[in-house]
Amino acid sequence: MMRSQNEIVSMATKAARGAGHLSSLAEDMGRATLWLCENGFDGVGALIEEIRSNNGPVEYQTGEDGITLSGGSAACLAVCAMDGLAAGISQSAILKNTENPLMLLGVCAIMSLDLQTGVKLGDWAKLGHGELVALSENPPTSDCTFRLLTKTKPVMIESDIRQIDIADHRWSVLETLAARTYVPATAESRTKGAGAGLTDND
Amino acid sequence: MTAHYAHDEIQRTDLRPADEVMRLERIGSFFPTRLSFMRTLIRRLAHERSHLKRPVWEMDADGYGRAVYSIDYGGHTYSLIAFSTRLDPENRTDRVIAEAWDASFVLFDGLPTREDIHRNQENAPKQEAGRFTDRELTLSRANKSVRIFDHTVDALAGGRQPRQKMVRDIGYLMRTTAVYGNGKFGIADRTKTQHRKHMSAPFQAEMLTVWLIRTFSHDLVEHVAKMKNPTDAVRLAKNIKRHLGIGNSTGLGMAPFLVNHPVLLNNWMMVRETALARVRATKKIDPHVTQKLVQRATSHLLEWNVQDHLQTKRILQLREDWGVLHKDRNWMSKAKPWDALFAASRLFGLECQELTVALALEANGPLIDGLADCMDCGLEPQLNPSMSTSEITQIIKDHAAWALKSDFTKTTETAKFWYVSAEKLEPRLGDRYNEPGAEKESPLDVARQIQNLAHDLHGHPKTSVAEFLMTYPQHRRTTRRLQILARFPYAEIRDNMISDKCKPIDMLRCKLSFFGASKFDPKSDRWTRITLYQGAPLHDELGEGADDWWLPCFAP
Repeated sequence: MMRSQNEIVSMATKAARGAGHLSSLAEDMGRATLWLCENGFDGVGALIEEIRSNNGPVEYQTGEDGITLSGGSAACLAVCAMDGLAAGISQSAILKNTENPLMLLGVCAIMSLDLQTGVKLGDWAKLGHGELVALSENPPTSDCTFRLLTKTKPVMIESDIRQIDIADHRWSVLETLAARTYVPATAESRTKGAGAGLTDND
Repeated sequence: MTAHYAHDEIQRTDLRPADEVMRLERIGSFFPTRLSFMRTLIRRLAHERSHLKRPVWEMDADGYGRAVYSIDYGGHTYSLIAFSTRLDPENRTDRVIAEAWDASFVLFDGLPTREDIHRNQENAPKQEAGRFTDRELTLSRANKSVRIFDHTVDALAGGRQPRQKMVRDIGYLMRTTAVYGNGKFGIADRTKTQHRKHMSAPFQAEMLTVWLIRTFSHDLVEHVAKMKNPTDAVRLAKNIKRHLGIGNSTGLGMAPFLVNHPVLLNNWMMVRETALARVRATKKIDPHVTQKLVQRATSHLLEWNVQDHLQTKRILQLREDWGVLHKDRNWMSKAKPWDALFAASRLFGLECQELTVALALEANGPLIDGLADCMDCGLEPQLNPSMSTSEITQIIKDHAAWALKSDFTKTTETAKFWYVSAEKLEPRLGDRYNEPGAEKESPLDVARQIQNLAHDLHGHPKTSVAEFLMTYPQHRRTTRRLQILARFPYAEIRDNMISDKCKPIDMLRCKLSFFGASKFDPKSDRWTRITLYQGAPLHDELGEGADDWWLPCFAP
């Protein structure tokens, strides 16, 4: 079924929250999902894989080669890596978790837009200001080294917004996860909600 | 009011501090102003002299069927597609849990074909259960106020106008119970129209929808009366028609919006406060216009009657305060008259103070109307990971000391929790210690999160935000909010949103005042009825001077 951007971001964010991810990270995952979908990738598939993955704490070490990040989900590692590079902690960041490269790509894309920078993901992908600059056929299978690119030109995004077709069975998975954030309404809530307690035929 | 101001003529006083303005009690006392979104829309429509057409009107004698209204605006055509359906009285409810309504609507981007109308007829009456396309910009529904609708039909069919008391006391023929926008249920995302200059101000598609629904409600009642008595039925008198706006029941769904859009909230407030500061600094006043507006406000307050005990008390106090404040006109002869009035108003209650703000703005359109272009916001700023933790600590000291005042070890300070209901996916407010679901709390507990962040920052005084968040990723959202707050002072409501003292109605009134709603009629501390477009120009009244409808009064 065709879905609006807002529906995709909202549902993906809620699904990530429902799966136990932190609110702030869930918002990034929601935006990354939309970016992937808009760029022709299986964003919802990447999200589903992501929310089933390790959601533990991030471990990081700073060494001569830069920051090394392990543990945590791909999205969380990508966020930490991009933050660390943008803050100048080091020139490169090595990610030990590359099990979900699409989510790495999506999160890096939205963060490269937020940070107004370019980023190189190993030999696999280059992103600039939220736009995909280059992508090879082979995603990383082991460690992936991130580097910020200083010479990427800002791209004026002329978005021709159109709705995106998401398979119903995929959407159902997100709905099920999102439902974990919902609370059944109580009698108290019903008696206090808008329109309650009045004759509606007045 | 024909004054024009060169840029270098515009002075301003200091803005009111955010610690004073951004309190629930104060924002819960706001009134609509000429910067409200409905007013902006009407001014622009009037400026363009937009012409409304009704290319489709297919209604049976009882007023059931469909209609299309089209208006050219800003180089685009927008069409309201309306469906009126029979509804058994037992199914009529304003609750969000309703599944059927008297009327349903979409605002269509362009002129719909028969196929578009048919497709929407299949879906719009189902509302949330329907599916839409990006040709639809909003989705809405409304119920009749049966009492006044039926009475008006009978009166018009009998050659009479409806009873004035009823028109004054109710003030609308239909109540909307939801106006959805921005991608809900498959309709167009806001990004589709945001770049259109005439649609760049907030909620313009929604405001246009409601204004067109008002026209539909007028046409519908006249149609049914005419069908009932084709020879003798009369049309609504202009003054009555103009006083019939659109009612609305607004609940908690609106409240989290203000928390979830901090920069947008800041921009609304910043414009309002900048406008006030400009007006306070001016030496100009038009005593005649001002006195007319003071009188109108006085009459409006007399027509503002509600059942809610607390709001009634506030209205009575306001009437008294307003009377004393305007007992004489000495303030008009001061060097800076509006500053003098503003200072005098501070001796009275918050309702009186904020009504004074709205009056000051209303009387000075040429000085402030241009600010309405600054009320939107683009992308919300994202986290700056380069900042140091000591800078975040300083931001908390300088801009968020209010958040450190609550004692979250007390159950009274954590008495409530916000959540999303499973039934209708709408925001709700629960009692943390008596209702289930607090573990699924929505993150609207901003003050508590700031305290938690401040606590964890103690151990990390000299590191970057990036490194701090690798260890404490749970603080990412709050850190970003604080960075925003340092740049946008009105971005946060400076109260504890989960305290037992938090009254969501204050947030609703704030947001609704920015819409331009009036006659706030609270039915509890978490929902209110209001009227929209009461007194607003009709579609055939758009032109110069059309926008003079602040705080309308029914003048038979």
